[in-house]
Amino acid sequence: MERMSSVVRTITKVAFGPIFIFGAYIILHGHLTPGGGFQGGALIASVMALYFVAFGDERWKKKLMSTLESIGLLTFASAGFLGLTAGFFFFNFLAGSKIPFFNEQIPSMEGFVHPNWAPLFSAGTVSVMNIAVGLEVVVGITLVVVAMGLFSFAGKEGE
Amino acid sequence: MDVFTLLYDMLHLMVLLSIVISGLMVISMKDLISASIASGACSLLVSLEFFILQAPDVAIAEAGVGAALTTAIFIFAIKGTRRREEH
Amino acid sequence: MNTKWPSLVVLVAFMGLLAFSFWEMRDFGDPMDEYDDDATTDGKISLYDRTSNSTIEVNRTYMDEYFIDHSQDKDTSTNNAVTAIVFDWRGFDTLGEATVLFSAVCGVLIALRTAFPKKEGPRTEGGEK
Repeated sequence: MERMSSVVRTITKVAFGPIFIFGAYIILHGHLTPGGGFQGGALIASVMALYFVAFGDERWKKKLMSTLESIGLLTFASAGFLGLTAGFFFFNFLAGSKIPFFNEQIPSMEGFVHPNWAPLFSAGTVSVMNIAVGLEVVVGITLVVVAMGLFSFAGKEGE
Repeated sequence: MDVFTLLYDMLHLMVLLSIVISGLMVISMKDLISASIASGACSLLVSLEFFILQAPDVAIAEAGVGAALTTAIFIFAIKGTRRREEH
Repeated sequence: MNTKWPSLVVLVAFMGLLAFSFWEMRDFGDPMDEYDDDATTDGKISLYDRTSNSTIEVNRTYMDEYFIDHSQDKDTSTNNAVTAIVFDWRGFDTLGEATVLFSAVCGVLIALRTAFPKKEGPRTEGGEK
């Protein structure tokens, strides 16, 4: 499919970075602020759709993206199944444990003026699942939009 | 009831009325691309309504999926078929 | 002409149901206080009441109390209680949701498998590798 006008392309170049970083912020801070994997993933997928519409790029690595999507879902499911080693299904085995991976505790709220403070590397498997679901949603929705766009515009270049 | 509460209620009422009006525009338009744009506007207003009702995570999901991705997929599908609705 | 009347009757009935459920709705942010005394505990939530412009206190249900008290401690140590519910206590539900999204993407890619352009170069027999 053809490229759009230079106004659209310039505005896409300007807006791509901030929206992408905002989506990554929503995914990474899913356990601290409103949002999570699905919301940030939808934002990044929408900015990918904007890039696709503005530049008309046809060189998308379908196999790599399908693999990334499978990796996202497998990470989510295995983080749930690993909870069986410490207790039950979807047990949060990382929070407050000795494993140095997202295991920081939320400090006591005594003496803090702002009561909602928490460290970024907290929440155990919740953060891992946020990142996994974010990866899956980004790649999956981007694949759907790109497949529909390429299929609709195939053979319609001359019109 | 002070002035701030009155303005808040008026904003709430305006958003709800705009949702109804844009929904009626979606079902009454014959040009399907215009109807898709009106559907995106309806989704954006619904996301604003979610934010007013203090559900910010649902508002982010609605703005990303409803206003951007659904409109893009509708426009791709209309490009693949035909543009005007026929009777 | 004849097909308009049944749809009108259904529309009016549905609008009546919606209006009935709207008038039976409890106040915004109010947990079920006056409806079920057995489900509430002694703990209180302070809410901002817009009509009287003051703070009122309502009872909490047992589930609210558990989620509010335990989302920040050693159970999950998650600051956002909504994410703690969605990804930890209701994680199985979210796993199903992610599986639904995965199968939807698989279905779209199978149905539109001719969309992506083929790579140049010699094509191997017997499908792609």
